[in-house]
Amino acid sequence: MTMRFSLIVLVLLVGTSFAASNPLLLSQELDATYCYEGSATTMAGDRHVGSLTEHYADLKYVVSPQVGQKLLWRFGAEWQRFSFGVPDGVSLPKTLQQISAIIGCDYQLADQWLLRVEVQPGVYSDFEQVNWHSVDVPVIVGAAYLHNADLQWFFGVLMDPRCEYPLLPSVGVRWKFADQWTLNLQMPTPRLEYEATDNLKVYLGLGIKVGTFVVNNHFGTDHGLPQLNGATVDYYEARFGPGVSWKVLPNVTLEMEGGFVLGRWWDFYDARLQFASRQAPYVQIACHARF
Amino acid sequence: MRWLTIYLVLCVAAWGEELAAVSVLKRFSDVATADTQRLLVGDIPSARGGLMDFRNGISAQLCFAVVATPEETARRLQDWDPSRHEELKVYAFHILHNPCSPEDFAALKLNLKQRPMKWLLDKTQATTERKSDLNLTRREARELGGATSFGDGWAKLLLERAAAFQRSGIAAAAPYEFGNESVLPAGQLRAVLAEQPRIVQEFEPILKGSGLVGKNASLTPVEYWSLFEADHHATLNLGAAYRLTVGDHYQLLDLEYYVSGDYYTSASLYEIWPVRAGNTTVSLVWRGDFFAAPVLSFTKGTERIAYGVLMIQEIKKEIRCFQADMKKGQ
Repeated sequence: MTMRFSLIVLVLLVGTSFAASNPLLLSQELDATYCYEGSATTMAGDRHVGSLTEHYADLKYVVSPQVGQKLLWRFGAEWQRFSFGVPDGVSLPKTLQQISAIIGCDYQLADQWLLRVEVQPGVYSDFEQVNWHSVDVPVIVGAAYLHNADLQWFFGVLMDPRCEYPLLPSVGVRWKFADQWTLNLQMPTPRLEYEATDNLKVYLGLGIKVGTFVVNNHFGTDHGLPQLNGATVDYYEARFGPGVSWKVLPNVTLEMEGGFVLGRWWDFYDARLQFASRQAPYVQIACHARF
Repeated sequence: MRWLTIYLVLCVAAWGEELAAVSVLKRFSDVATADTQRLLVGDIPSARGGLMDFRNGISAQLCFAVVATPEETARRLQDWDPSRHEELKVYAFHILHNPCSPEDFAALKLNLKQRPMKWLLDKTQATTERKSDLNLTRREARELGGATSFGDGWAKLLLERAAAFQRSGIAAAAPYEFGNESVLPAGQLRAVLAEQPRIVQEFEPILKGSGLVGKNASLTPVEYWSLFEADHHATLNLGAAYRLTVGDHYQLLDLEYYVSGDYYTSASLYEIWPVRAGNTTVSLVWRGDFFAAPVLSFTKGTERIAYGVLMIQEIKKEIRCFQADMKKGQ
């Protein structure tokens, strides 16, 4: 943890001197999200185990020094937390949490191709007990093909050696097909967007969350299922709903959305135990700043 | 034997012409290669400009070939009408008389069924002396608000700006007074060019001749106004295209001294050399584009790289349309 903190401080110091030479050489991204998901019936197979709610928070900061005409480094950190209101006796973790560093780069591969490689080493667990077993290193590789100002294609793959499916590929497109309409099918938030004004967009879309975490070494024993001690759990979540995106400043956007969680899934795939949560309402606010 | 000698002399001369052009290119250009054979089959090598200290600025450089003599290419570039190409989304393009008169702007009409045009109308109607999203002086904003019709208001504004330009050159271009600070189009262009010392040195004759560098403009440009779509918004502009013969080649400067919105100004510089292709002389063209836009001061990192990539795509589209017109002899 200390080492990661030192790395971030070092990057910020380097960044400050970069910014002093030319402020455009250093870009920063700050994204903050909070979401509340209402009570949803939860099943273990065909067995009803109760209802649960969820608080979700995510905070991500990335600093990108440009080190050449085609290359930008990406350094940063992310904290992501799922807090579940789990009824007593249900063998689901109350918290799944990620604290990770972000190390990567953006590179212009060819005239119209941009590449992003991002490694997120960190702790991915229920944070009841943190040890080396909680450390994971997922890798995201993405490429964008910029056809023109109105059409761009995206290709990506999430590589997580701990996940049951260690390679999750995705294809996306951003197509501004009319003056006010954009089909923005980029993972993990594919959307149909309508520009109501220069600063206000409304959208309808999906939100998909995927993560792999490790529960503590006595989690199973505490819940009467010893096979879940230190088990790995893949978590998936899909939501659908409308939202508004308001550009309060040229570089700051606020988003608010609500709708329905289509489902949540916890897969202790080693122990062949799965939980699924049914539909529930949700509200979310988010802030995205680029400076 | 004599024919062989003549043939060899011609080959060496042609090779020498190309070599001279390429060596000049290397002196100031960032475009890596300019292989005439590849250019003649449609290749358009390009280079994104580097980051500038001037936050509003962005640039790009490209090379292309035109199957016509440099004189013909330069002459056609100077008054080329892009409105014939639907994909360029230029709704109207008109050459101005000198001195200009209201008749020069008689064709200014908006088709309000098109969303980008409606956007310009909405922004015009929302303009007051205190607030506007358009590039205007406060006096222009007041007069535009009080105009009897959209077309009349804009025609009067463009006529006044064009007349001022014809009297006193780019130095007379009135500022845009509704941003965080008053912005002079000439000042923005000079700031962008100030970061391109090699290019400014190469194009010193035409930059001085236009009055963009120095104080005394000696060249007479072809002036025009146009109505086009920029970022899905209808945009009006006033521009001037200068042409200068420099030894065996030509220089062109096409600058916008007024833009109604979305960005502040732009300039395109061209240098056109003769090169031999078989038995004919064709044109090797270097083009540099320099933009100043307020949105760029907030555009950094990968987003700025993407902006540069897309800018090059748009310029390539325009070049291909010009090449097609030259091929058809239009």
